[in-house]
This record gives sequence, C-alpha cells and structure tokens, in this order.
Amino acid sequence: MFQSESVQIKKIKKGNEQAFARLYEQYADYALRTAFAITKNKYDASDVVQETFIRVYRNIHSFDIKRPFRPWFYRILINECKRHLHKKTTHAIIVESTEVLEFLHAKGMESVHVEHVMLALENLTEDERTLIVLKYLDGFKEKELAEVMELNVNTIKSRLYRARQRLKAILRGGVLDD
Amino acid sequence: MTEDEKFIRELTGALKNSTEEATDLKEETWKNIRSELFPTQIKKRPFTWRKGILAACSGIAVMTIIFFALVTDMFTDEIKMNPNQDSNDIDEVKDLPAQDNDTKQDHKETEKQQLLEERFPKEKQAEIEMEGDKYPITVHLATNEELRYIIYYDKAFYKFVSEAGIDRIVSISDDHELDVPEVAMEIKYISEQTETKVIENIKNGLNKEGFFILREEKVETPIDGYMIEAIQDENGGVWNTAVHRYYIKSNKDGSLFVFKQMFFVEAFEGHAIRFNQMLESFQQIVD
Repeated sequence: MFQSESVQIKKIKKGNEQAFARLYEQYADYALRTAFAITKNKYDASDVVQETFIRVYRNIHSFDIKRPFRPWFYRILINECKRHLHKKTTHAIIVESTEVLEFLHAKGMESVHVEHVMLALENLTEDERTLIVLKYLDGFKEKELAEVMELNVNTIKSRLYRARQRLKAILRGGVLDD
Repeated sequence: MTEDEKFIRELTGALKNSTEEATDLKEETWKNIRSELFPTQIKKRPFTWRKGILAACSGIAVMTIIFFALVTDMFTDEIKMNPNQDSNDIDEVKDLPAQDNDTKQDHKETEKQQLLEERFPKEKQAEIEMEGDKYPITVHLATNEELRYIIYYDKAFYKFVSEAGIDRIVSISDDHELDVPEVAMEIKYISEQTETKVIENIKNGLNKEGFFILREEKVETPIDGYMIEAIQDENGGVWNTAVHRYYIKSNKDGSLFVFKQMFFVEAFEGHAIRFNQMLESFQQIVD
C-alpha cells in the first residue's frame, strides 16, 4: 500500500470523516462504473456502492494495514454486487440471449462499439463479466484479481482468457463454445 | 498492433464510455452514505433506489388499508346496531379487551423506559482519542430501566441489544468473509456472587476457552473496578487473534456489573478504545 493511503486508512480507523470522504472521492467513480457494468443498472450500482462504502467504514478496523487496500475494497464491492444480483433475480427482466446474439451477429462488427458492450456482457456468466470488468475497466493485474476473486493466479489467467474469447465471439459474431 | 491488442484497447475504451453515466450518481450516493454513517450532520434517512420504489408501493398499501379500515369501521357500527349477528363476530370482539390490556402494559413499559430517556440527551457530541489524536464523534443513549443505568455508544459502528438478561453493544460489521472473531461488549448484572467468586469464574472460563491472561489489576479508568485482559494465543497471536477484556464493578449493596469486551488484536486501537470510551459514559442512576 502506498504510504499516503496507509496514513489515510489509519485516520479512517480512528473515525476521521474527512479521510473517509477522500477515500470515497478516490474510489467512487470506478466503483460506480464497475457496479454498473455488473448489475446493468446505474441506480442499482448506486445502491451497491452505497452499501459497499458503509461496509468498508464499519469493517475498517478489521482491515490489515500491511495489505493492499484496493483488492480488499473490490472484494467487498464484488460481493455486494453478487448479493444485489441474487436479491434481484426473481424480479429480473431476462434478456433473451439468442435475440441479443442475433442482433450483434447481424451487425457483423469489425470493432468494439460502446453501445454493444453492455449488451454483450450480459451474455457472459457473472464471474466472467466480473473478471472482464475488473481487468479492462479497472485495470487489475492478474495477481490482484486472484486476491479479489479468492482464486489462484493460474485459474484467473485461464478464466480471463476464456471470458475474453467468449466476449470477442459475441461481439464479432463468432461461435460460442457452450 | 496485434488483433488481440486492438480488441483489448477498444474494449477498454468502450467499457469506460458505456459506464460513464453511472458516475452521475456519485454525489447522491455520497449523501446517502453520509446520512447513514454520520447522521448528526444530515438527519435524512439513507435512501436507496430500491427502497424508494418499495416505499412508494407501501404508501399505496397503507392508503388501501386505511380505506378498508374505514369501510370496516362503518360496517362494525352497523353490527352494533344489529344484535342478530353471527357468533364468530362476537368471539372476535371478546378478544379485544385482552389486546387492550397488552397495549396498556406496553405503554407502561414505554413510560418507564422513557423516564431515563427524558432525563438524558438522546445523542451528544463526544471526543475520542486514538494514537494521541482527538476526534469528534456522536454518541447515542442506551438505557436499562430495570437495572437503572445509562450508557452512550456510537451508532455508526454498534447496535444495542438486550437478550436473556444481558445487554450487548454489538459491532454492526457483518462481513463474515473477513474472518474476525466476535466484536461486542456485554453488560451483565450479578447480585448473588462475591467479587472474588466472579473473578475466579471469569478466569476459569478464560482458561477453558484457551485464553491466556495478559493483565489483571485494579483500575480507576474507564471505570472504577477490576480488570482482566486475555488473549487466545500464548505468543501474542496475529492481527485477528481474539482478545477478551473484563471489567468488574462492585456496587455498595454487594451486587456487581461485569463488562465483557470482545475484540481482536488489530482492534486494540479501534474497538477496544471505543468500548472503553462507552464505559466511561456508564452511569447508574440513583432516584
């Protein structure tokens, strides 16, 4: 952990609201983006991020200051996304995968289009989507991903490769392998 | 640039662009977080989009119930006017006085509880010192009418619960995956044992649970009494090793209060300090 972040966390542990506000400023943008990409709804993303920061503040005493903060934070964020998605499952509007795929394939895209990325992500599994978002939106290294997802680095590498191939196939009209 | 590199570059850009709109809610989200964690600065209850929709639905439900209640009330008036009603209706009416008694009892309990609540501010500003620095915090009143005591605690981190004759101030951290032992402070009243016996029982209990006593001594702060501090590892443990700390406070009539603080090594500079600050606010009320 960077020295400045370590000092900041120590202050939050003591209940310093300003330090917590700075932490929010630092992490909120990407937390909201990540939660949005996973939950597919910006209001759900707001609820998830709200709950995540509340949990972070209330659990900060148990955070080991010698360890990096970002994976710890994102583990809470991802778990909160999962909790939220499972809570919503019964109310979810299911997008017909075949319709989405047909739409995307019909486009025969040569490059990745903004408006199609979210649609394509919906056709990945929850874990694949999370890996893609953390890797390519948040810029996580494989080692950090392993810590967030609580998996070993080799598993992360193979799952990431597979997720990327599937996403590429969806976006570029290829064939899905399952 | 390889095809893969091109794809990744485009994907990263597309992900950033397609998630941009979520950042519009950054300020609103922060307001909600603040209202939950620092309620004295903002009095508003935390809002969630999901709860907002539910609240709207609840409002409609309440209006519907009120409407039917009014209709039913009108109908009941008609029954009173008509003595030839079905006997089932009469049985239901007979049950009502018992409910009234319960309600009266509840009101009495509430009145008793409110006495202490009325005498002390429900929340107040306090200062907590950690590692040499002082920080302002807001603390909230908890009362036990039967045992006639009050204590202040920080609602941002804890909740006050009463179960089986023991009051507990429990950490509201609920992230089980963090692998930390229980964090709470129990307040127990003992009237039929001497201080010596209570101390002996505590030590035996600690021993059985595999704890090693770090310190035991008479103390004047945070409370005038006897303190026993123990850790669940002879060699000092790691960051999340459990620590139990007891304070025993004797009363003039021979009864005792036992405060059991449960936390872990890393929380010596957090929960442990907060628990002691709560203890400093502990007061027995003599009427």
